[in-house]
Amino acid sequence: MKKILTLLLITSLSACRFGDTNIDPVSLTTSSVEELLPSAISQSIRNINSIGGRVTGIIIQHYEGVDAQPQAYDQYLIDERTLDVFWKSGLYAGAMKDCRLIIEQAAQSGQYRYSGIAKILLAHNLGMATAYWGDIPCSEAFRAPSITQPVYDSQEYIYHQIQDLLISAIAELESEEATEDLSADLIFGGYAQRWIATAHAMRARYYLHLSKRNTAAAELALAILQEGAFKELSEQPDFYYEDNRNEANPFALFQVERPGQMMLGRYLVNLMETTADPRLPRLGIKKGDSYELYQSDNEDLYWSQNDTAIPLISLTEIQFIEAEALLRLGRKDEAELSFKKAVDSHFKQMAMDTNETEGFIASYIHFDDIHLFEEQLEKLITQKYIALFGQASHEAWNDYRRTNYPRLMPPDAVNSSFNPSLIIPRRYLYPLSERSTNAIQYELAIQRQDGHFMDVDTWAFKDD
Amino acid sequence: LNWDKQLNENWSIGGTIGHNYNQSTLRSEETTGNELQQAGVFNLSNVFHLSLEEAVFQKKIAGVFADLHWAYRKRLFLNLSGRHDWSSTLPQRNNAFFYPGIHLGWDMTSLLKIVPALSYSKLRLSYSSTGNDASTYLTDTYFNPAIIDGDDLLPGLSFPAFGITAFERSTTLGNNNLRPERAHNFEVGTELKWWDNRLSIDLSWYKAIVQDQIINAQLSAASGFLRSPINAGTIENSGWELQLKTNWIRKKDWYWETLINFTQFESIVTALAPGVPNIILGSYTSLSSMIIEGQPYGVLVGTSVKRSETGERVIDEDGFPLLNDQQTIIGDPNPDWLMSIQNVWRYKGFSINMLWDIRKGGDIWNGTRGVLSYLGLSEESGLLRDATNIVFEGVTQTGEPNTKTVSLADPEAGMSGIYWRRYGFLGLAEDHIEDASWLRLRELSFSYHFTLPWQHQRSPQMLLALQAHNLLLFTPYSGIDPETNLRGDSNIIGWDYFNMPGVKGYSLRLQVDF
Repeated sequence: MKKILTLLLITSLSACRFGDTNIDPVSLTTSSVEELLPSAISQSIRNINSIGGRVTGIIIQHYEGVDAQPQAYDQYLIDERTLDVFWKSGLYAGAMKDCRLIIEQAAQSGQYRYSGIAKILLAHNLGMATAYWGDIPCSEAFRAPSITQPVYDSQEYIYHQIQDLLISAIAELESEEATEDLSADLIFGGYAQRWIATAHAMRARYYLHLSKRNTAAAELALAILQEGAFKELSEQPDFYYEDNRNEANPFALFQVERPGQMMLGRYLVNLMETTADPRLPRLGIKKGDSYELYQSDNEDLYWSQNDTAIPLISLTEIQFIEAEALLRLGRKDEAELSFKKAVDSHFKQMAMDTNETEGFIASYIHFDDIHLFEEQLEKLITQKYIALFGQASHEAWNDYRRTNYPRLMPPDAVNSSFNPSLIIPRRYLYPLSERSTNAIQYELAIQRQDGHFMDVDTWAFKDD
Repeated sequence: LNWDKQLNENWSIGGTIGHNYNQSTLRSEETTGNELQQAGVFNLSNVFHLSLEEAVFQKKIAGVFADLHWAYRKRLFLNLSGRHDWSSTLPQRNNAFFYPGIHLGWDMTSLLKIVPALSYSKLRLSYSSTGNDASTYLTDTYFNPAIIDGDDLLPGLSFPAFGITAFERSTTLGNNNLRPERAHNFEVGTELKWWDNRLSIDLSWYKAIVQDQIINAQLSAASGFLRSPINAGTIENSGWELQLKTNWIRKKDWYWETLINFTQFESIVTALAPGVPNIILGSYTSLSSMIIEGQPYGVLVGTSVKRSETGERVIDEDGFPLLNDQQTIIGDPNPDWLMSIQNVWRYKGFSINMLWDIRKGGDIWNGTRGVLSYLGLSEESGLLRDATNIVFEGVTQTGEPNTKTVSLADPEAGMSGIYWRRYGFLGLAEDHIEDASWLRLRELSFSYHFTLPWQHQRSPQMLLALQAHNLLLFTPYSGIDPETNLRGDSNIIGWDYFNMPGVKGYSLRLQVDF
């Protein structure tokens, strides 16, 4: 009898209730915007020149892939798996979810500076995602668990969203009076004015993307630049990497970890050799017939240093945008001035001596013998292509798809499996994870765009 | 609590009732220092980057169980059991589960006395269900120190870094609606012994239906999460098991016995959770192991050649096979059947033991061969690199039979003209799936039992044995010993990518028993 009683007692005491046993005591279940922002900033910048930048850099022929995975990119063997991890952990469930979380939490706590910065970063990531894939999820995204299979919005919608986000960011940054440093802001330390200037610059960039779709694109871009974009190198939104393996620039890290797989692109080398461009030895070191991107202890190779700062958007890019906008509006002389400023800014960014650079600008950077718009545009964009090396290959891709400059030819032995027309790619295949987890929306998006192979144009860059 | 009682001369009855409480806590702390500042000083304060990982796992399970058994004339046995558990790893309202079982055993020996050769026979029938809980901490979403990645070829950047700490939300969405897993096992079996127990046969058939398995299902990254644990679906495992033992010779000095084990089983995913078309267990470059409805568990999916409607390979205009734009099912790593044959011979003190191990079926992806071919180091790429008159069998995109001749490695075409480089790093996954059946002499041993001729009453028993393990292997697999797995002890099987080769072993043993 006693045994049964004891048994029942023990049973009743231990049944059912375990309290917070299943809550991990060493992890957080909430986080503050101060803790989330550094992650959002770091991932957003990393997305520029990690794998997305390498693959895009190879197809736009900033680099040539000569071994292992980069060689496959060179052959246009870029399938649904190549950028899958990038889509997942770099963009959507990486930087973008961080930004959305910050925006939501900052709205509740009234920390508008955080919200403004996060919106700028979100616009940047959306811009990259749509540059790669055209139609992408946005309006129904980040709504788990209620929506787990979001619809793909049209690229036109995405561009509207980008402008809206930037406008809203500017308003929020202007509204806050606070001036104390934000240590969580790894780019500007919380300096709102700088972020406002950055947002203006980005608005101009995304306006100009739509030059094929909107005849007023150049005008809009120019106006917003003059309204408030930054004008000095010191105001550039630079992210400072450090000289150790953990905090290194991902492009440099790749060259150190997997040396010899990528070289300087042949078109780029020819271009810079023909014009005796003093920047060539800063981009690569000549070894036999090709230029290697990395050499240990060679600090001249600017873009392959661990601690090279990468900007969200560079002064040289903005000045090229200004020059192009002026050119499109028929203001050739002003365009030429901006052109010279842009190349000069690029030299300064790479910390090159004025001795080396003045001569080059005077002798080559001008429209003296060129009188047709298309020829002037070609020269401008081709120089912009050099300036974007290592810091914005995706913008160079955008320019190419928009203008057909520089005049690139696909490499000789390319594979037609994902690019039957064998042209310079116009987009990437949607990732494998979307086909597995969001099949219906994935199929609808492909149908709506008449396919997703690399030779199918996205809305923004289609010819009329 | 236990009790047994003999009711009368025919019936006996017994039972058990009990309670169990289990609590486990695991604490782990790991500090890693990366990149020494000063070479040779191996101290954690002398590094450029410190990363710390701390984890605490805690789990509590409480249960009550009961068991009742009856025996009729020591011939018919019936056992009923039941258990009820509560676990801390499931959400409060779903944390209890009950699982019963019923076993029936029937000793038919006396009944089948009419068959003189049959010295023993028994029939078994059982049904049991088991429940299982979840791993710890699946019910909530957490924030962890941030890791900046998004590139499958580079290491990530981990915070704290740049002088500050940072967190980000986990990409695993906690699920507060989890239910316990259930498995229903049926088994039918028989044990027969013939000719004074010289031949014994144990045959059983089983079927296990595992429902509501808790698996991390992938989510569309656009939702903000990469995965969530869900009750994913149903897997059916069924198979046969046969054990045959024959005592050919059973004399005082001579002894010879053969023991055969045979298993054949199938594991098929019969249903996945609604809205979940498949689950990726693991991926690498051109290959994945997946759970797909209607397919064996852990089926291999990878890059393959595009097929026409009639199933023929589609060849491109340049004469080379065209890649499928989607990865397809290319192999099944689960074996068809397994068998082992063991023979033991004994004469006086000497004995020989020989164990053959046979496996039929089971595919392995030979990633090693893929890389070697990519680098031009494999036998295949060596022998075929000068081939200039190859016509790939298949049809063109318009349906005509392919007639275009190609060279597999024309130097004029450069690196990209090499066949083994056309399909990316590691080559076409489909071309590297091989049959990993084997016939192996797993063990051969010679031993001698003896006693030393001491006058002492208790002279020790001695054993001297020479053993050889894994002596012979016959397999169609072109790589190393196919009894290998890249992913180790996990549910992802069938990958070989520079795995370690199998080993042969020899040992000498001297054993002394007092």
